[in-house]
Amino acid sequence: MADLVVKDLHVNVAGKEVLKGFNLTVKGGEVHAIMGPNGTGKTTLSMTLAGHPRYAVTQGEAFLGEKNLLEMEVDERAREGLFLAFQYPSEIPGVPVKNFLRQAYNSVKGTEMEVFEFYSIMQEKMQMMKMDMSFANRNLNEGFSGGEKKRHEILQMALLEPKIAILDETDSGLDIDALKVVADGVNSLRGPELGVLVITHYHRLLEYIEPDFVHVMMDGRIVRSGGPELALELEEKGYDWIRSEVSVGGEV
Amino acid sequence: MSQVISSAIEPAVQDLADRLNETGWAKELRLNALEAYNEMDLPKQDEGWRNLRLREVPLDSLVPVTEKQATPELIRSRFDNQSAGVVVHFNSDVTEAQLSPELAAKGVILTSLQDAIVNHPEKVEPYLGKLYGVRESKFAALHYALRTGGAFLYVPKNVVIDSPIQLFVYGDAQNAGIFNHTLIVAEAFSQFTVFEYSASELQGGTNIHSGAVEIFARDGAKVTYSALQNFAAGTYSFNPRRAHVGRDAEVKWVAGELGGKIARSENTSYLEEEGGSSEAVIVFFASEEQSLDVSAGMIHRGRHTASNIVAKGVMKDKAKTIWRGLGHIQQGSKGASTYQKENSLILSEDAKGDAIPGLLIEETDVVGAGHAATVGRIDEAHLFYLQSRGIDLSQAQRMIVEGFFATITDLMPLETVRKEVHTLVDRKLGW
Repeated sequence: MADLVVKDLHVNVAGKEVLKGFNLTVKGGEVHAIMGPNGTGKTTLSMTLAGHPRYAVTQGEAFLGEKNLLEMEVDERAREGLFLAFQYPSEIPGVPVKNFLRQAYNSVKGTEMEVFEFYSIMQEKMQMMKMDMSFANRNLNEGFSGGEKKRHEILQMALLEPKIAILDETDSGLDIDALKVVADGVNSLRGPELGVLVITHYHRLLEYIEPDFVHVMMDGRIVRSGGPELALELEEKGYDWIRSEVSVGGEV
Repeated sequence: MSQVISSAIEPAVQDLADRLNETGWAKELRLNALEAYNEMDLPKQDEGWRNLRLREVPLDSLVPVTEKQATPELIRSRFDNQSAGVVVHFNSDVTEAQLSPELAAKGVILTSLQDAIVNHPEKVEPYLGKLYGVRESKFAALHYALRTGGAFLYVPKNVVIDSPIQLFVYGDAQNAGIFNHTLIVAEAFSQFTVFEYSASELQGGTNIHSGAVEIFARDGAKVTYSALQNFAAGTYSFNPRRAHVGRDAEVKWVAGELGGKIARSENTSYLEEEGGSSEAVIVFFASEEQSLDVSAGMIHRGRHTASNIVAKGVMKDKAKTIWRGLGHIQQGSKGASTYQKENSLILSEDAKGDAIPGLLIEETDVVGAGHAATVGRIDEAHLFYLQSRGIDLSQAQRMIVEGFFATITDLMPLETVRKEVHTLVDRKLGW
């Protein structure tokens, strides 16, 4: 178990400040949801934490347990236990899923598992995600439907067993059946060792993955935090409700 | 006019003609080539020889002919006991020519070309030099002037050979030339596969390879020619491969162009008669300071002929590559189709890759024609995705490059070639 602690994070993208003093702590066993309108910095947050080189941190800090994430390479962060389920996973030609999963598993776990040995582990997790084994022979995300891509992301999460998992708009592009499969997968992984950060635009996903805390993000920082009831309130009143309160009240 | 003439070349040509007891047309071809060599300049940029530092080719210090040696173990260890026959061209000589007795009994001939000129002149004369002309370039002239050894394969009508025939081209003598010519005659409805492997070991020195492959596929013949070029970093190689494709015949080219200092290769099919088809699957990978010039051409003259070219190239370090694809449908080639697709992946800042796709359509009644070419770098998003799963940068690059090649090596017909390409690609990537 390791806490994710983000303090006063400022991030520039293409010379423009997108995150403007972001603070958040996610402890093991907790599920946090970050909600907010488009263009408010949600994806910037996930990309920055994962270490994408185009996102430049100008101020603040981010720790995973004792480790300073901001001083680590992308792959080191993953090996330390950070996982990002991508909103738009890359399609990579000629790389079979089974090879990719085994490489990732061996890298994160520090093992040198051979094909045969890995197969049974992969099989178990794929069954959990209701995926046919033929899926493993396809090329990485190539020609996958939206649902297949997201299921494949959660499959990776199940295999890599991170300490902190960030789900970036995992609900986007999913029909209700696919959403349930994905949510069931995440819920089955919940436990005291895992902290989850669910980033979403809509309330819908939170009906299936029930959060302990809900945060509303606007203009590069969290403007309001609460329990699951905050998500419901947002669903009813919309983001304009918060926006008006924030603009009237200034800092919240 | 700047000329590069080695004082060693002229006497060597005379000596070869005498020593090999060449008479008539064969001697004439050799002496004509010498004349052409002495007259011709190095090829120029506007003659389609862009980006090659040809002045660097050490023609003036060329050792034209070397002493015969035994087949090196390095090559012998590559003999596949399943193969139907083997020819080894080592420096200036053929050191091995074997054919399964069963095939010999069926009339198949597999010998050095030099022996075939003496023993089967009637089967050689109509073909030798018909697809690759003596005066095409100074390197063609050099090839025909100093040609030794080589391979001749004759497959009679209806003979189907199940296992591949192996050809080896190997050089280990510094400053020496390798002037091998492969001539293949596939009579009507014959079917077979040839796997050519070329390599050199020069201890840091250089040598010059000016070779040629000519294939004549008669009506309904099916020929697959796989070539894997893995010369050492000191070899200058010029190697056109050409095929005449007869009525309803099929010629498939598979090529892996990986070695050499400056290496120019070409796979061209002349689809002369109705219903002929040809395919080229080509992989090239240039690293360090290599210059590779790789091309494939499909020249349609017969009706209802079809062709397809698929190529992939990778360039890293300071390497330069040039890719040319040509689909040429000549007038009268009604109902023809030609397609080509090429993708290049550049792995370093200093590497350079040019791609020149070409379509020339002179006939209005065509079934289809198209070309596509891309040159790009590894997608940053792809790297990020793999790295975000704990995979380190070099491993991530490796997976992407292997994936890039996997989509084309899957199209290669021989398992041995596929494996060999993977191994060599890994080695070039430093893995």
